[in-house]
Amino acid sequence: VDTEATSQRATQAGFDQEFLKKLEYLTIVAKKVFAGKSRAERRTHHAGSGIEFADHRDYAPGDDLRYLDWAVYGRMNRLLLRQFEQEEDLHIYLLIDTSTSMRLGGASDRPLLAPGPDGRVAKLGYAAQVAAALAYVGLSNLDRVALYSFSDALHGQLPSARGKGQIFKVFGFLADLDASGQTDLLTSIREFVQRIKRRGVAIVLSDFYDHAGYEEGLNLLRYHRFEPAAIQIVDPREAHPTLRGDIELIDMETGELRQVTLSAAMCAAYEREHAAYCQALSSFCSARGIGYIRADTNQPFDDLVLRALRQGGFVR
Amino acid sequence: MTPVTLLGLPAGQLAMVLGVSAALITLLYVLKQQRRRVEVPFARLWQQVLSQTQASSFWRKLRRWLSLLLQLCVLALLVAALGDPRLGRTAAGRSLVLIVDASASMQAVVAGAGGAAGPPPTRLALAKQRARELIAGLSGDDLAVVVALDGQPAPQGGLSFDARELYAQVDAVTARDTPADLPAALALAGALLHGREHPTVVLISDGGFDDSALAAIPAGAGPGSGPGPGLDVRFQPLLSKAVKAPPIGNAAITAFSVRRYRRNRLSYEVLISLGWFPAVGGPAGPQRVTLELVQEGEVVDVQPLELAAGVQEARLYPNLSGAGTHLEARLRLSDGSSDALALDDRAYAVLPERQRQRVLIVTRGNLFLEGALLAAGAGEENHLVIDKVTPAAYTSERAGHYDVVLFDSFTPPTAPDANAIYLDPQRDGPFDIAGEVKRPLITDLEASHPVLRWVSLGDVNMTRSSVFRLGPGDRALASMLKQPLIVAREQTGRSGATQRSVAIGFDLRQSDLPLRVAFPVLLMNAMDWFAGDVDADLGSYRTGRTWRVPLRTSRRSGTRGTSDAEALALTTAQLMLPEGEIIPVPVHEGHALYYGQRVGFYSLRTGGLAAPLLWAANLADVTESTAALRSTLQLGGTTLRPPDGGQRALRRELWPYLLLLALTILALEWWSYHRRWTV
Repeated sequence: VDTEATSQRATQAGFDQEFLKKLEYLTIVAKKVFAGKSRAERRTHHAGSGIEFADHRDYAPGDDLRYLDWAVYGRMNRLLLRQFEQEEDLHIYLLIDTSTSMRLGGASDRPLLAPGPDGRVAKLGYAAQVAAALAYVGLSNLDRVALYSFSDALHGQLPSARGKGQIFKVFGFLADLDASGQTDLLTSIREFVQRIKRRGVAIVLSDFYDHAGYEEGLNLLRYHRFEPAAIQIVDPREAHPTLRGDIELIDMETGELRQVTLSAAMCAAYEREHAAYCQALSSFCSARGIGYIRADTNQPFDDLVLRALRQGGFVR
Repeated sequence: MTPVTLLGLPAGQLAMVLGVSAALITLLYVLKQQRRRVEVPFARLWQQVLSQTQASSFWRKLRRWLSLLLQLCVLALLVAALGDPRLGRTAAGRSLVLIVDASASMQAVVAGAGGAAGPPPTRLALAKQRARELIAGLSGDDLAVVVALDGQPAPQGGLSFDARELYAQVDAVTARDTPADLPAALALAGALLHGREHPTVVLISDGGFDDSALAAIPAGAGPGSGPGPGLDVRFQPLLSKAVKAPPIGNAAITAFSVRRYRRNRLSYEVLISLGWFPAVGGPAGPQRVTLELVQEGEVVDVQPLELAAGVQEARLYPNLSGAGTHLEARLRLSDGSSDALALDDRAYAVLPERQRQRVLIVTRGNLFLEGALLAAGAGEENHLVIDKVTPAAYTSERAGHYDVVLFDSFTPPTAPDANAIYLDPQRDGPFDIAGEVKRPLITDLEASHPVLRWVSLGDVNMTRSSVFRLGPGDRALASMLKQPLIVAREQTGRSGATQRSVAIGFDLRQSDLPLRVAFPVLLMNAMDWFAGDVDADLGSYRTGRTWRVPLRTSRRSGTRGTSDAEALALTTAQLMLPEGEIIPVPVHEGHALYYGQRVGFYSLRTGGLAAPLLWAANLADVTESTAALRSTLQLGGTTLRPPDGGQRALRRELWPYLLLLALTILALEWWSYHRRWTV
């Protein structure tokens, strides 16, 4: 019953068969585009019980004697231990920002993926589409995909799953997302790294409108040996506002009020300010080897996903 | 400094409007503005922008108050415009009266003045054009008014600086079928300009005035209680340049009268006066014309005539008869062309109503009397129908069927319900007899009475005569030393209609009166008096005069008239004009009063009239029909100069400039607002 209800909710939110077909097509295209470029397949560095020899190391008391390389001991009189490369599933963590600012462009009476009168979906809907696509690609590669939602803290999670058949759970999780709360990237990621022990790719889908700053949160992922990537969701209306005249601005997350009289010049100044903010995020990411993509909601999400795959660092 | 006056709202009201409006605007500025709320995802970015672009709060407030100040300025300008402020005049300003001739001759067309296309314009159209040109050339200080010159000159509005208002006054001038009363117009202009600076009169006319009248008007001043020596009279001719087309002469009917014969009122004769007035500079020879006489729409006579130039010819059309009362004379040029003035090519007349009178003679036989009545118009084809009875056969009931009863040496005890003539009445009759005189001589005659018109009784001989004692309504027509011998009585009869009677105090057979011409005339006059004023010229009036149309055309059986009492009680009547419009006209002392402005047939109805009272009106003015077109005019022997043009100057009205200034400030405010200077 729960599965049926979840499937129904997902369908209502827009994750229907059509969407699934689009994801499947995306997966096929991705494999064709990136055929022969599989050098980026990931293996863990953990020595373990694999079958492919990796290296030697000096014996230390307490090591398993079965892995001692007696042939080397015979030739060189050194106790070396044989190490084997252990293959592991890749873990992909999709962290989706569900703060109030992600509500921009949406409406409470509209399904999550339904476009508005201007043909665009809300930022959260767009993030959900991208997350679904990345998750499907990952699941198709038999990677382990987990999803998390956060705003001022981690709110929901979909435990790691593998195989295409799990995509409906992903849909169900995404369909239940609701934008609320203030963005606190540091707190949310701190909670994430404390909770997750398996390292992997951590893709953050957010607008990165954090009054406390996004740097500490992204760095925290790096410090904990995750491979972070940032997808910045931007609605063109916030990047290029057309507001004029006497207006009272309200911050969607903090509720802060400000009375202004906007002119074209001020809007142009704001555009510059917004572009500088995005550029700062991009520079921050590239300086630290963090994958970064800016996703404008007027851009088809499948194009964005292909671009993300081409850029690398997200999923294989 | 030029003073400013307010012609719109008074200053008090303006101050009130300004105060209330300014308070409202200020209140709107002071009130917290309800702003549109817009959600933004990240207000910190906006804060950085605002911190860069917004200046100090003091400067922001100052700009806000600057905006308020601009709004208040706009409001003050608009309120000031409501007051319609006008700049006062300077000492150089003239006061002008533009007299536009609208008399009958101004309806004449001017050949060649309207260009090749279209019909030639009338003189009035040219005069209006000249007036508009003059108004367009007035300087800002000039004050002007337009006066229409016809039989009753009248200003078309008030003195004004405003060219549009003056144009409207010019447009309001309409042509009248009346002669022009130039002295009255000049007197009116003098009154209008009395006490004003630089009084100037500009006469825009064809100059069609009587030379003797022009000579009688002193130059430089109006007549009578005129404007004084300062009035400057100028003449604006209609044609500013010579036209190529030859001028057109005018054929006119200058008089048209019709009357029924006294002896036989069933027939009538027509007197018509015609004239041919060639234009100055045109052919001066005689003109062949065709005259048509139309009765009730039917042509009854057509005559080709040749009219000598400048001479009026009278034609008599005797012994005409026919049904109908509307008679019209039409004149046209034999060559089919049109003359200058069509107005006087037609003349109208109304035939006096044909009336039969039934007369009863009560006599034992009197050949003098019967012979005189025959001479007065008795007979089958005539208007008198006479019956005769002896005194023994007379009854008052029978007398009631007649219009007139003639008692010859017989007096009924009571007066009949009819008009009556008593010859040698007896005592105890309607007339009170005071005595008798032997061989009287008539010493006093009431010659103005209708019964005694054209009658001479001064040397009538008689052997005896009764002397009457005058009663109410009696007038002594003939007396001997204050002793009335012939009496006329007018009183209200039993039926309410006016009854008239005449008493002659002597027997015809004892007098030489029947042997005189005066006797049948006396009888005819008495009959006519009984029937009403049939000889009064009701048939035709002249335009340009106030008509007094009598409603007292009473007779006993009253098919057309109303009684004296009813006529005197009337205060208004309905007059149908030639163009078909029906207007109320006042009635004063039994006469309807109306100033005639149009030629044609008129019809008057009152509550007491069984049938409408008809008459016609004609121009009948040789001066207007002459249709002279002068380029110069002499007044009192002095040739009038053309008017001076004025200097163009700033319009006196200030409201357009105030509105323009307000619009400019609004545009500045709009511009600065969108540039975010004043917000």
